[in-house]
Amino acid sequence: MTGPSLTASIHAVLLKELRVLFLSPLATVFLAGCLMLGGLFFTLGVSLTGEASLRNMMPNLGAMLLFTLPLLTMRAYSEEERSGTLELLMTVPVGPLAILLGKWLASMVLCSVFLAFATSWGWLLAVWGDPDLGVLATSYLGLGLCCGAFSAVGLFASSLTRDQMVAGVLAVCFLLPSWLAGAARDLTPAAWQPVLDRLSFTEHLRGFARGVVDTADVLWFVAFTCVFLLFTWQSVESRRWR
Amino acid sequence: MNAGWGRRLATGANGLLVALFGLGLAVGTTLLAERYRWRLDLSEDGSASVAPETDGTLRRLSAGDQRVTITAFSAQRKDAESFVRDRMMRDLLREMDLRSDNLETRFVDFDRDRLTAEALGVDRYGTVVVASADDRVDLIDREMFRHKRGEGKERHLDFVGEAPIAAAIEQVLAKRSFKIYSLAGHGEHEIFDRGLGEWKGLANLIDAQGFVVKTIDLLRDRSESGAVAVPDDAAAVILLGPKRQLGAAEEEALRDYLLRGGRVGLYLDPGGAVPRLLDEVGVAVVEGVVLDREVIRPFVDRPLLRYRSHAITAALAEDDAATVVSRAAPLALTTLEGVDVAPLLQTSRTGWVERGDLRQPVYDPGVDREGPVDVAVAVTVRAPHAWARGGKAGARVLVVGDSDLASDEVLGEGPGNPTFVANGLRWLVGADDRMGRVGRASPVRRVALTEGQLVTLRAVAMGAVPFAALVLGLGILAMRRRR
Repeated sequence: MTGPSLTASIHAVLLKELRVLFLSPLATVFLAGCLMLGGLFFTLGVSLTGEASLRNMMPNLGAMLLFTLPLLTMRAYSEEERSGTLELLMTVPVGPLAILLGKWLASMVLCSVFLAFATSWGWLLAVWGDPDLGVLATSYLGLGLCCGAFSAVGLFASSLTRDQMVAGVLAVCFLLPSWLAGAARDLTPAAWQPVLDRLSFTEHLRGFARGVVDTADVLWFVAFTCVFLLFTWQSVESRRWR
Repeated sequence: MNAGWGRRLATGANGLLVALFGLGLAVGTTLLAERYRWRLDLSEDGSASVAPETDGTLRRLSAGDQRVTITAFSAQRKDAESFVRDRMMRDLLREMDLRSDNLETRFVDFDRDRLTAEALGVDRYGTVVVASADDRVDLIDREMFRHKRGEGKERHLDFVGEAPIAAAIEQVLAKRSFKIYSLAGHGEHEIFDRGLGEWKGLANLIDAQGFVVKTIDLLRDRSESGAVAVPDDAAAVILLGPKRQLGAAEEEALRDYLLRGGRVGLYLDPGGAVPRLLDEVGVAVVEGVVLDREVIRPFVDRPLLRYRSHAITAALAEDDAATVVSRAAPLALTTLEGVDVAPLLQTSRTGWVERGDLRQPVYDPGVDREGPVDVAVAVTVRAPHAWARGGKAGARVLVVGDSDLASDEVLGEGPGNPTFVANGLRWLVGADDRMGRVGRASPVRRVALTEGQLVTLRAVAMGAVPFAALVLGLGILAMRRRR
């Protein structure tokens, strides 16, 4: 007897995760909270600089996602383990990779909803100003990639512990150096700057915020995401033999 | 060790190896991607990338072994604009940094890092220091940003710093082999007043081309033998708005220099002195001032000029960047054998030469001369002209009927002025392969909001949109629970 294909398994897990997300107030709180905070950064950026772009708020939005996305993903594995459903999941013929990708895609769907709502900022700029639509598009692309990377870190942290809060704090701790590297850039000797630039997600968002899609930046986010998804996979796999 | 532990160890080690391999692969891939990056600029005006000319400069820098450091200091924190200024400067530095391994850039907060400012001797906000080995160029804030008037009292900020920084890099890289002598002693403009003088922009422009300019009074600064002569190391001689006629000995010295294949640039003004040697190449400065019927007060003495085909003006015509002159003297041309006269700047038919009262300029067909009127020409001399008889062909003369186009007041007014002046000098010294383009301006896209609009913006971004998400989420929640 053969099990379902990987795509079908991912689809099944994705639907199950979305159901769970939307059956709890978590998704709604995440969306409303992020949009309110993002809206605050947006209005501050526009009223302070008068610029018709999201450039000024990109680092702030990145930092906001750094703290909020772990709240969304912290329960992904921790809750399953605490309630004992993870062991059950591991026995069904979908495999840990499909579970992982399903969970990650579910958080990406939620992030996409957030970004879809966030396009209202671009629309507001277009109503009263003359924004560069190419720059707006790449800004949203950068934020999407950022969401993917942070979700992967959140999932990894969640796979390490059965306590949701610990998982959330761990995810923030994993992501903090990448945020601080950007802030520390101008305070460190010049020799350190290339290293900090490579670590900092804000530096990798800079190009997107200006309208540039740089393969190096795209690959950085993709590699970041893949590495943490791989870590999560290995972490979940390790439960089989631990 | 029992079999269970052995299996765990093997599986654990395998998992760890897979994770490490993945990490190594990711690090390797990102490092490779940094080295062989491909950048797609999706901004509507392509302003997120450096201009092709800047890219060329950075390629030349990469190809050599000279290192250049750019240290940019933050703008004075007085309003929101300073934040935009800093960010645009950071963006440019980063963009340039990515394109050359031999370039090191640094953005310094002027308020926080006074030590760096003191070490570099910088005492002004917004200064950019471009340095290499023992050479250095300081650019000031005014050269980086320009305010443009919009509708009503609106002012737009344009970032124009890319071209000056690229020119400064060229300058510190250049071997200063071209020496230009600026003639003095006849009331010419003094371009070396680096304070608040009228010609600081020109001095910087000349610096940025890597030219060394020396002032020379031919009668006073005689050669070792006591003769009145242009020094042998002169790549060109320029006269910037002479008011008094040159003496016979000086004219002779210039003629002798041209006989040796010399290059002379004449920036003349209405009513000013005109060297007599111009007659020998068929160029005359006629009486009057060039005006244009299309131009209205208060800029009535600034005619609309079009570019004629020449190496000096080719890029300017392509970029559609106008050169502005102020109270220009009209030129009249006569065809002579062995002399190639190429008009550079010319009015259209709506231009004319006003010979009457400038306070009441009206075209009078009986008195004034109808356009098109030449304002600038490039002259090349070849055999059988007398100047080419000595076997030294290639004498060049650049004649511009206005010296003010290079003054601080007008230089920054015409988008094409700096390039026209710089290309003229390049043509004079024979650096025809280094003709520049107009530095582009990157406008800051604005959203000008009234108080009411700002309230609406806040209400929508911080209220309506999150509320809509909340309603959607709660709606889905209610629907799913009802099922």
